[in-house]
Amino acid sequence: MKRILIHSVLTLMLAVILGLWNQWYTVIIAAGFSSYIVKLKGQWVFFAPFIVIGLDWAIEAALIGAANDFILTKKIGVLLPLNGNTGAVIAVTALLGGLFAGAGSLVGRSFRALQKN
Amino acid sequence: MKLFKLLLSLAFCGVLFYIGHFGLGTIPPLGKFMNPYSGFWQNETTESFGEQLALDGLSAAVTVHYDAQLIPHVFAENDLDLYRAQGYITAKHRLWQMEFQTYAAAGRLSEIVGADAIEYDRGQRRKGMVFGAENALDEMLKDPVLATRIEAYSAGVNQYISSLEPKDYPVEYKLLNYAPEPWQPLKSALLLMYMTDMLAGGDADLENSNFISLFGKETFELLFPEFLADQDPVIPRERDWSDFGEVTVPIAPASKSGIALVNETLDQPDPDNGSNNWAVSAEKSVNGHPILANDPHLGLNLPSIWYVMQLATPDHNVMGATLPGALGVIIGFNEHIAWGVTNATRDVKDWYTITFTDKSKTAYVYGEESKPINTVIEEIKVKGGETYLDTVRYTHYGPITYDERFKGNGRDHLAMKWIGHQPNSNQNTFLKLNRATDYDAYVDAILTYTAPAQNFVFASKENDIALWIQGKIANKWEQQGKFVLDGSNPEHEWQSYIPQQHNPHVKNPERQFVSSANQHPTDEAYPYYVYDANYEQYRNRTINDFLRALEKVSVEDFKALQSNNFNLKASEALPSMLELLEAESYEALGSAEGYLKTLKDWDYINDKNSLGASVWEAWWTTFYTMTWDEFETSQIAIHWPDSYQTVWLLKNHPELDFFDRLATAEKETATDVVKASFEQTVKSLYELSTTGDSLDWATYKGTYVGHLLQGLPAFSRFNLPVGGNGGIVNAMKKNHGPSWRMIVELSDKTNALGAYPGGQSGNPGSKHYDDLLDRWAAGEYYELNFMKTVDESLAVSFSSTFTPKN
Repeated sequence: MKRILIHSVLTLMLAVILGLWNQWYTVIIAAGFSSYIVKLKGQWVFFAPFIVIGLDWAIEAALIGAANDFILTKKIGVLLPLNGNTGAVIAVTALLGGLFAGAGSLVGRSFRALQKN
Repeated sequence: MKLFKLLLSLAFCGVLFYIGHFGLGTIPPLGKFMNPYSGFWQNETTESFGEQLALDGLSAAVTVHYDAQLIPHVFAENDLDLYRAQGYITAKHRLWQMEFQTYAAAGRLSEIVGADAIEYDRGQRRKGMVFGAENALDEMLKDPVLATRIEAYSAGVNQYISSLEPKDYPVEYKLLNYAPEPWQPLKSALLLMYMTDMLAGGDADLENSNFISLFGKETFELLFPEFLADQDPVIPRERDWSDFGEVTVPIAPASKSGIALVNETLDQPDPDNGSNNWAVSAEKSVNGHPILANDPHLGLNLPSIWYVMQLATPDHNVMGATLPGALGVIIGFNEHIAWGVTNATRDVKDWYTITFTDKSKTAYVYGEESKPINTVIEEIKVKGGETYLDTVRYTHYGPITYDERFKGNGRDHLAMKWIGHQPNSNQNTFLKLNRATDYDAYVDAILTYTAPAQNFVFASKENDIALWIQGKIANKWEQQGKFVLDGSNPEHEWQSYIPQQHNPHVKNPERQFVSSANQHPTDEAYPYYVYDANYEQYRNRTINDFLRALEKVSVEDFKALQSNNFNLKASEALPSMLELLEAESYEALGSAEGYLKTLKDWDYINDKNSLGASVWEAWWTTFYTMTWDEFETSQIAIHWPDSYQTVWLLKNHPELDFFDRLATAEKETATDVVKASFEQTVKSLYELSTTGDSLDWATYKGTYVGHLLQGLPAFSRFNLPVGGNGGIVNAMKKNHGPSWRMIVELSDKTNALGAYPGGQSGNPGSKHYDDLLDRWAAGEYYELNFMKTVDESLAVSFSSTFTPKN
């Protein structure tokens, strides 16, 4: 559990720092690097960064949206199409953030495993 | 195994990265687009505070007050600072739109949306849109004052663009995964070409030639007369043209030109692209001040085509509708005058057959000589595809639009001669109008204006009202350019232009008002040849009847007239059509009696709740299409007769062959078509009503304002509760109508009102994206807070200050 916590904090910190670069894929790098440094077991390799980045994206999105009455979020909800449902747009945002981070983490973990060889 | 896992995880991550960064087909790049730190979430914001910013090139501070509608009131110390600030502010609120429209003008949409736009882009290239914009820009840059202003505007736009990180890009860039490119003065010229194409890019010359070949000249004259008995021209009939003295009009040469039937022509601009404007004198105004109104009818889009601004320096102070990408105010008012425009439609685009001297197609016959062809290879870059190359040959007339590789009849080479290609300084006309203080300054401003020809309505605090029909118009022989011309015959050239002073105009007429609504400019007495295939027949008469009927007119009357839903066409056609119906024939159709009664009781008003309007419009459309079924099924390009002439034929030539329906063996007359179309209408309305849909006019019509990107539903507004229709003063069609409504009373303190279907912000995430739309739909107006000085901060929400950069 401690490892998961350390991994999560590291992922989040890296995501924030690399985020200054303003590239969406820094979450892949952050999660990948974290898994290279901190060894996680089993499904946590994927789900720990999935949850932490998913939550990060969801909270940030919800805060931005709420500050503007979700005017654009509703429209993106029509575009996607999600019936204009703002909750669904936030959920998709979180899901995507989680997926990207989880995928990055798997790569980091695989590198780590290969090097241990 | 570990290596396999690594490869597998890399592949999984790679696929996700690809989709996240580049998208897939129509799916946007999901990572880029959806992440909250640089994706669309960053566009989830409403403009609600100002900025303090140092701008390159400013010579003094510029203050911008934004009011509750996000209308910027810009106060600069000099003209160059003003236009620099205009460029910056316009880009800040409308960057994607202004760039997208110039891509559309230049035939570059394939770069943004992919191969689907190649045919559109080819059409734009073959129309010579960039050729025309370059000619205009060259002319504009010859004027050093104008040149520096255009460059200042351009620099202002670029300063905004260069301040952007990708996370700040308008959401459409993120959706389509591209970035803004630097703005150039050419783009301002392209934007003006875009308008010229919209307003003066239509013609029916090839369609007319087809018609003569298929049906003969006599039928053509019957279906497409040049003058109509009921017409109420822009310049009142009382105008006596004798002050022109003897005028010279070319004589038609004996030789004519012919051409094989043409199957396909370029898409025409919406024939209802037009406008209303009018002004009443101080004498006719309730408050004793001239009042002026204007409402241009264009496609209803978001972001709106117009952007409202006040632009002030110590030397002038102007407010009104601007076109994002162009300098100054296009339709507006200042402390002394107000002006507006409607399209003065004329046949300013002609087609010449080109005869090459040999198979190499490098030269063409011109009289006894030959002239060289200039070949241009157009490179159309395509998003996600290979660059498409298209060869366009240029003659001295203009580009050969139709040839063996593009539309036309696949054989003949047809060169376009278009006023839109000619060097011009039309931008300057508007900048001069912005500064005009009286009638003479207004005339001076429009003097050199070439295209699209406009009915420039004018009113001043000196109590003058006027209307000039201004454009550069070829002085043609009778019917020159109405049909295809022979490019090898120098006699078929445009020989000269109508002298500017002979353009029709009127100042302070006896009737105490001036007006225009895209109708015929003059009566038959005007000494020059006037032709266009699309003169308006109804709005103009409704407006003039309304203004004639009132002894004194108020701003409230102006509002009522801009929202006037009287359907003059229906009032002229419906009684005759009802007479031809025999009610007892419709017993089999249960609902027919009900619809018949609805029509009989209808007051000819296309109000939003009217059922009669829905039944009438459905019936008219069916009747019109059924009457001209010969053209609907034709593989040949044909221009259809207008509604006015269709009604006239119904009343005066009910036995005309065209009333015979192709789909039946019997020989029908107008009466039969009236009945058959009514039956069909009743059936379709009845079926629609059984689905539970309301048949009130607003619902039936379903007016919407569509996002510029092919009406992207998420960013569009649908089912607006509006009445009106084409041919009605309140010209709201399904996706076309009053794009800006302005009323200006030239009292001591100018009283100005405005409304438009959109909002000041181009950002779909802003509440200002469409916050003006609902009041526009309701026929309501906003007061335009015309500030006399920077300190008179009327209704200011927040302010920005731009300072010179050290």
